[in-house]
Amino acid sequence: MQDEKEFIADLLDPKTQNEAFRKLVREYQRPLYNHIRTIVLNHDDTDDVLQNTFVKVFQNLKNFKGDSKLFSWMYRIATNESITFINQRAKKSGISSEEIKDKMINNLQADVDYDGDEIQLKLQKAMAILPEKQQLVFKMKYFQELKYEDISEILGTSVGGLKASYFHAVKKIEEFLNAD
Amino acid sequence: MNTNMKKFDLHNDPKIETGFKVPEHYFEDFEARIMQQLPEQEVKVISLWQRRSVWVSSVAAVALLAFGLTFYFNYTSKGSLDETTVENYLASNMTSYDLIQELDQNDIQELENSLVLNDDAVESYLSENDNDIDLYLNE
Repeated sequence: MQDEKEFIADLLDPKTQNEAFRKLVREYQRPLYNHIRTIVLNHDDTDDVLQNTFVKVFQNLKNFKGDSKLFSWMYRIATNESITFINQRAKKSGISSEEIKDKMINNLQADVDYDGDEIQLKLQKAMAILPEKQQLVFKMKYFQELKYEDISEILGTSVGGLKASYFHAVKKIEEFLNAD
Repeated sequence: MNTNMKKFDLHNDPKIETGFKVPEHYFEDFEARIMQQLPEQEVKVISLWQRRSVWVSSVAAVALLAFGLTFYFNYTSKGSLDETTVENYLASNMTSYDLIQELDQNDIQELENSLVLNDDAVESYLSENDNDIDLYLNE
């Protein structure tokens, strides 16, 4: 991608805005989709959250300070939107966000857009028992293969803290997978 | 897969994928859908409205300032102070002790003359504040 500052200027200039935004969507829709999907699990929900994310990005571009990378900023919005989505869904159903996450995992097997095998499903279940932060770090590192420096910008946590979280997450997941 | 007691080792085993599928053409469609949602006209509407609202607020601010200043100058340039203002000022800024300190014999005489006291008034005052009567009586 071209120089980020220039690109942001294009995004803010009404003359170039639409074309620049189209480019942004093309560039980031896949990674953001994958990131959101690992949190909300279901395709239709991911689609909703992804749309909200891009709309939020568009609306807030003028406030983007440039003190983090555009990429980390968008990931941060996507993460917040995903978590908000789950909490709202839980609130609507009158249950805790832990319960709704369990429900979402259980729905996976019947999901037409999920063809995970036994181990893949077990990994989903293993991740679900982790504290939220560890889940996020694990998913971003293991599935998305993001660098600790980027995750640190996205989640606002120190690299050291993230490494510890990831280490604990891996240990707990391996224990879960090896349990029987 | 886990039959011969092989332990899972996330770093050395082949990566376990998520198992998520994405419907065909989803991303091609998504780009078009999101571009439609984004707000060409919203951008224009917002910018026009913002421009107009800036104008409206500026005019309102100037009008308010002009009104305020006129009022302020009229009010302060009056110069002379009316008695009520002085009284209010003294009442709120001085204790009765401070006031007493400023009184001379003539003032006290004048105050005494201005008091219209009759026995009924004194009696009713005392009966309303009966706790204090004893004090006066004891003296």
